[in-house]
Amino acid sequence: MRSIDKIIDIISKKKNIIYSYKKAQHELISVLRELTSKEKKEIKPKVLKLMHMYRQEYYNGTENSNNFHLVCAVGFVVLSQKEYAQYGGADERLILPWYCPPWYSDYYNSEQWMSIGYTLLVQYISKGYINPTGNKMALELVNLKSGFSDFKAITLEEHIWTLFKYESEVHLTKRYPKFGQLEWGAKFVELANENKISREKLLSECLLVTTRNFNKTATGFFFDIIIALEPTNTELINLQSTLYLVLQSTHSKPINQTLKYLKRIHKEPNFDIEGFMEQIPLLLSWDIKAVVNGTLDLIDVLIKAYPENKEQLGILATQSLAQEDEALQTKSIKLLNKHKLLQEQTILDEIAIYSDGLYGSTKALLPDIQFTKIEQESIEISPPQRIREDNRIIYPKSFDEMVFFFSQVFEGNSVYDFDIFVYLLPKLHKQLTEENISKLEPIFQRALKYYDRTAIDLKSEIIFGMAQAFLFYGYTFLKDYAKFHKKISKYYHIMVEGETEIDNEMSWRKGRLVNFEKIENTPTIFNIYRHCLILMLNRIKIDSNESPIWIPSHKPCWIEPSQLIERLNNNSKVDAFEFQIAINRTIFSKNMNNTIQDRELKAIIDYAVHINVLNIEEVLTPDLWIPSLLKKNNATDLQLFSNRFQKETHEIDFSQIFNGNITHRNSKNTTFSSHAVQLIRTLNFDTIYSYTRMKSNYSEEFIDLNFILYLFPTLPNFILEALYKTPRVNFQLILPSLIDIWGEYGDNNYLFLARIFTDVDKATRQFTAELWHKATQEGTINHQLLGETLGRLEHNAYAPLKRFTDLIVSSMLNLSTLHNEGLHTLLSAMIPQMNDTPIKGTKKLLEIYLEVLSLTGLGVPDETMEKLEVWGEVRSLKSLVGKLSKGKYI
Amino acid sequence: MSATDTLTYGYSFASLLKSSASSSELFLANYSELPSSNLPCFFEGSISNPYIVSRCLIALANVVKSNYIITQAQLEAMRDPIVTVGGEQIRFEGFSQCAGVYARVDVTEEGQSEAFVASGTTNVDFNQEMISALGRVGRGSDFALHVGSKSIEVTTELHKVTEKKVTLPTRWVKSLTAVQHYMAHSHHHTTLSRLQAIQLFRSIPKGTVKTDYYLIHRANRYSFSPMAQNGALLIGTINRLRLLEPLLPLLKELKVYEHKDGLSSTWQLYFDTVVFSLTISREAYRGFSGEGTQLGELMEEIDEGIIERFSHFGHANETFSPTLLPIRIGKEPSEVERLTAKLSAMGLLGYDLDHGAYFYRQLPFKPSRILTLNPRLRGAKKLIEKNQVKIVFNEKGKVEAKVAGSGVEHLVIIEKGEAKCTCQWYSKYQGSRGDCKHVLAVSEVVK
Repeated sequence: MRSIDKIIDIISKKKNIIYSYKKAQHELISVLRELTSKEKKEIKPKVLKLMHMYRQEYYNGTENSNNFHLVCAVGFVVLSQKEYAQYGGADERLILPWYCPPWYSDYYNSEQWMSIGYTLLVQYISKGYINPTGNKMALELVNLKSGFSDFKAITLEEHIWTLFKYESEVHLTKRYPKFGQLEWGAKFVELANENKISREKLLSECLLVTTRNFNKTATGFFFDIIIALEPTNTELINLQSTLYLVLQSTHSKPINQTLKYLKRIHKEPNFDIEGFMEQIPLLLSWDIKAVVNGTLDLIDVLIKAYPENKEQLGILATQSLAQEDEALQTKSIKLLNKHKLLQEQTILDEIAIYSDGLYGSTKALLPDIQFTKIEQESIEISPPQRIREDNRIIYPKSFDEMVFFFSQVFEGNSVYDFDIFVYLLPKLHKQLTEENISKLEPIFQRALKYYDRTAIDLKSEIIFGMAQAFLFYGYTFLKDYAKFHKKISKYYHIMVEGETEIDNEMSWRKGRLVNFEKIENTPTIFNIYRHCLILMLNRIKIDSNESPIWIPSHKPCWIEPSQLIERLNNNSKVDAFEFQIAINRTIFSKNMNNTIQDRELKAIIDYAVHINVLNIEEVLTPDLWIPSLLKKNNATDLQLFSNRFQKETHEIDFSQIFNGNITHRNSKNTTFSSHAVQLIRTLNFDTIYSYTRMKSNYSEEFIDLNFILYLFPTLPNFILEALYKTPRVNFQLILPSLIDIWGEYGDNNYLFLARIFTDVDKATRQFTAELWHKATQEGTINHQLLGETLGRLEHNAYAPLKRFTDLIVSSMLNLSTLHNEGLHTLLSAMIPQMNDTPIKGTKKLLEIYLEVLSLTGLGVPDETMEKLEVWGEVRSLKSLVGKLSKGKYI
Repeated sequence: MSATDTLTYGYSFASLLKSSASSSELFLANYSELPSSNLPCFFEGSISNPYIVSRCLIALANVVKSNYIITQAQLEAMRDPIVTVGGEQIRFEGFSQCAGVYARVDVTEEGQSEAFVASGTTNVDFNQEMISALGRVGRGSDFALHVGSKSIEVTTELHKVTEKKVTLPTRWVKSLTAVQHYMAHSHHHTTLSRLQAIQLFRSIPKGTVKTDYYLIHRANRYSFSPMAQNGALLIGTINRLRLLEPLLPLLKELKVYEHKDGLSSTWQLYFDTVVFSLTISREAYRGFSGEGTQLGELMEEIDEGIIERFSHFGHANETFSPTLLPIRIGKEPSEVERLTAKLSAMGLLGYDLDHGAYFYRQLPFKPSRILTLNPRLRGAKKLIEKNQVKIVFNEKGKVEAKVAGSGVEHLVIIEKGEAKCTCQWYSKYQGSRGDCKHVLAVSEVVK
């Protein structure tokens, strides 16, 4: 019988339950021991197949694990490391005594999570089977049980020190005792106290961990050991050079603790003050206040203890003036003053370097220094120019240009590719010939690839829609090119099969996409795109020469009014959704020449541009009037319109709705009462503004998020509100576009803005500051309204005020006179809206307000002063309010 | 060669810093895969600014340890930096694991007492113990540097013949051959003082940043901003700049260079006799290895004799003169651009931004590792070999061709120096990462 047959025989016999696993193992080992090199090579392919098969059966539950482990034992003996590593699974203990594959040690080291237990590892090391890496040794040690006490000499002299050199989960063992695992922190202290390991080495290694890029918690764990060991002053002095290494750490906890130790030993005879002074620049540049504070405290005591280094220490201390925190700047100046260093010209020269970034309150503490006054950048308001020559969209014209456009359209290269797609496909269709049609094949292949690429929830719905529309187009409209049609039909059929399969598995999305021409009633954003795609397919079907009226003429989404008028005059029929998008995207000017022939359409544009009062008798097609009505946001007109076109069950009195009222329940449930929202809710017909429901995960879809925004560039509040309520939206992806299109928006957009000013994500907040900066420059932001909205949001501490105050300090303060004045208006409007009982962070807000008053030379408005007087009753704010009321530093 | 390949650094000892109260001696073990570069010792001399050099080497170690796209499970042992010694300069170079960050420490002539034993490029062992010990080097102590060692005694004393097996991804070596091309196409953007640099780096946002960042100048100060404005420098994924933070309080001056197409930025920190430079790619997930902006130049074969002759002229760190080269090797000046691209892609050149010139250094890896690095080039050559390029039209400066793709024929049009293709590579990157294999093949066929 051949070896492989013997092996198969043993493994398959195991299926008989009378035949025991142990007996099978025994028999198998006997066969394996006899294998020659040649036989091993011969049976390799079969063994690989068997391993694959048994693993599948094991995973599918049709086979227990024993057969899989048996065949893995064979694999262990005959396969290479790479082949065996795909499966693993052998019980090596039975094999290693007589055969150790040459790759076993490498295999053990390369399998990150493979653990054989520390005791067994020590045995294997002694027998030469394994030469473990430090990482693996640390892993095995971390897994030791709490009862482990067999600490051999090699364990104590060598192995346990790997825990200090290689990052493991040793820091988690603090929580492990309840799971029966060894708590290493306590164990190290115990071993040192029992003199089983060197206390000096333990202290030194714990400190050195900070130089090894361990994570914050792991580093903290080793520092806790040091604290538990309570090092003496002599020990700390001996460890000085290592303590200075800790000061170069990237984590603040060890640094703070080390600063405390240094403070303790700074008077010891062998204290190395030079060594510490080398570390000061790095310490004072930290962005964690505690580190800078601790360093300044230490400098303070060092100046006393080492008067010969006084000036040098003073010069070093001035480096903390680079900090943006007012308290740190003040502390630094007070320290210098305390040691009479402000009398030294060298120190004053150093301070002058930082003068540009010093707060008024800090400068007030200094003697009469003449700082060079840096002139504020003079910025004048310049309104945004949406329609320019440099942002005109060039639409592909020749057939080849179109081919290259469509071949890249599924890559998501540009946010207005959807618009061009809808405009261009009917044009491409008209230019097709027998000769050129083959150039389209890569596009069909790409459309199918996109369809097939990733899980549906992770795809861009817009690109997905274009891919499906393109495949649908090919199958439906290219039948005249029989040979080519046959080729591309296969792509369409693969998609249909795929969709049908998914539909069967997920009933909730049945018919969602495959039946392309059937619109669902669900008001999702996707149905707006699909509506546009279906209109496009209809244009191809009827061989129309008309272009969609809503496609942009200028990047990213703007329509030149003359182009809109031309399209409206050329098109025979106007679709309500298309018209609504077009009005949202068109930049009207008061002196534009409205030459629209259709009477009602002309009246709509006139109303949008310059008519002040709605003539309800002109409204024949109400859904076309909606965008103009919302842009005007006039309560009387809205009431008039609503009375005529509202659902029977809804009656609304606009005069009773306070526009801009915020109802705040919790962070995600803050509503802003708005006329526009109320109107849309009550209408008896559909508008695009109702189609704002989104899929659950929009965290990554840059194209979709931005395209959605570009549907409503002049009335974004509906979509902003919907986005805010959608979980996991990444605002970083959408804010650059919002900043780009931000205009003179109505008050209902300011809630969104106020919310993201205090968003949890710092980068998002930074974007908001950019928006504020640009909009201030363009004159498109209402600082008063933004301040009021922020104040009302923070009335009950909607989000930590620190987020907002930090943002002002880092990105909004002192940008230009124009910005400082805007900030003054914002803060003056914000304060009166806040709670009478100051929330956490109010002090910092008032410090900033004081700085703004100093920069602008403006006063405190009466309404703001009233709130400040209320806050002045609180002890911690009393002095600050006093300064504010006088408008200067004391 | 596979996408990754195992490299075994065969060091004769483990690098070590020997310190006493007043002096330090750094022994760096060296190893090259090239027998001709595997010399026992390259440099023995003293360094005049030990505190700065040691901090810069720590920062370099942080770069080679860092990664911005690879998961922890994929992380292997650190890839050791390389050092080029010669021409009165010492340059240490290394890449992050993800190949999107390149760092170099240049110790200038004034920064060391000359004691060059040999000239060449070698890998140097950067073990954790040595890096940790570097932190102890103070400003006042004497500092001797040894790259390799002549003394058998020292080698023995430092004990342990040490072997480090690392999986060396192709992209790591490839990046070493590509980054100088980016630097050569960069220009000076801004110079900042120490204070300006510290204030600037404080504006790096914490946490995950998903958008590009820019260096802007506003209201008399520099800051990082997520929004572009006139004159802004595009940085891309910003958190990688944090690698420079420990060096900021020590620097004299910071110069920022930007790539002409915004594909990279270089941050050069000056410390009297030492320059630390950090070059980062446009996005963290786009390392320098994946770009192919010089593939066109590489397509044409260069006579091996020229390469051979060139390598005889080149000495480590010697400035590579594009003016003199054609005379030395007997070629037309017009071919220099292509030749330079080819030589740098073969790992024979580095680039010095301060001098605006290439310098010679031969990477210490087997040529077989380097020559198989460009799959698009290989693909293009294969298309030509299999006769899968059909030229449909070639007149009046316009070329139209059909080139075989996976299951379809792609349309390639080259007109007025601009090439377009219907393949996915071109569709996705629109030529910003070099030509696709189809365009390369057509260009070659119609040449």
